[in-house]
Amino acid sequence: MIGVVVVSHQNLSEILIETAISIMGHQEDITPVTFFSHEDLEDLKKKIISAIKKVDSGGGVVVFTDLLGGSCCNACAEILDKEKIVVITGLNIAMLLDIMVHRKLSNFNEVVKLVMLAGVKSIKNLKEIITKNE
Amino acid sequence: MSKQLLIARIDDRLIHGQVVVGWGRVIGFQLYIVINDEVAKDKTQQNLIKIAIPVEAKVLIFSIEEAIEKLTRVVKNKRAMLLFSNPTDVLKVIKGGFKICSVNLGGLRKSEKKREILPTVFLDNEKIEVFKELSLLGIEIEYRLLPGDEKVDFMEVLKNGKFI
Repeated sequence: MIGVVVVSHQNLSEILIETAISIMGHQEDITPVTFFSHEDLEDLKKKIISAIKKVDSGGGVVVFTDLLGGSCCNACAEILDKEKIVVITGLNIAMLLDIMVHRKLSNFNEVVKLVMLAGVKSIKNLKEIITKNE
Repeated sequence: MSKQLLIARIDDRLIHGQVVVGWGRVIGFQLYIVINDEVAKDKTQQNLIKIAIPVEAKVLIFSIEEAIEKLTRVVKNKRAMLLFSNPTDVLKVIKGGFKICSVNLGGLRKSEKKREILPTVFLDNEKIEVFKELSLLGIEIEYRLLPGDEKVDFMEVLKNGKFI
């Protein structure tokens, strides 16, 4: 199974995981990493690495971060050379739900693609699609 | 995956995250059927439901009358989820001749003058009577928010809480 780490500024990561679990049900091997403004960037890197270790059961790990270019994202730079670890930025709840659905599949790269697509596909102008449907 | 599977659920929110993702994507329904007289007349609600359903699945919206007439035919050989907003509609469809063995109760949320039975279930006496009637017809009523949760015998909950 694919392990999941969610890294965010403040405690968004904890809340997002909690929210996704309320929709999908209990999950194994998923963990949040929080980063508060007073914290040291080196400590954040250590927290991310230990979170990855915690959820890695051999099927690969997806690390989500809240913001492309933010500290949480930049702190992941060092883990990019590792095999079967990807960092996906711009996390939304649709992506998190999608990985919960697909994480038991064995094709790691395929799951990564599906998850990113789910995130993009969930962004819509509600008024436009409703009008289109009518 | 082609074997017929029917889940009937009572949930006053009808289609929402727990239903389309928590149930739908875990079980992989081909068909969602919303059975509700108000929604059958309300274009905006219908559109919101259509948007929520995954593209690979189909959604039908029936009034009670249409449901009685068409359900047996449309669910044949399908993995389908039937969604009701209240137990009275379930009873009407069963009395109309459609066979349901088990009903999953998700939520009937808070509103005035109703008693809390479970954190997501609030009922007045009239609705409690409807559940009693369903149970007397031999229908299992199981409370469960998500498919992975443990089934709770809802009639036992009513008995143990001295609601019946």
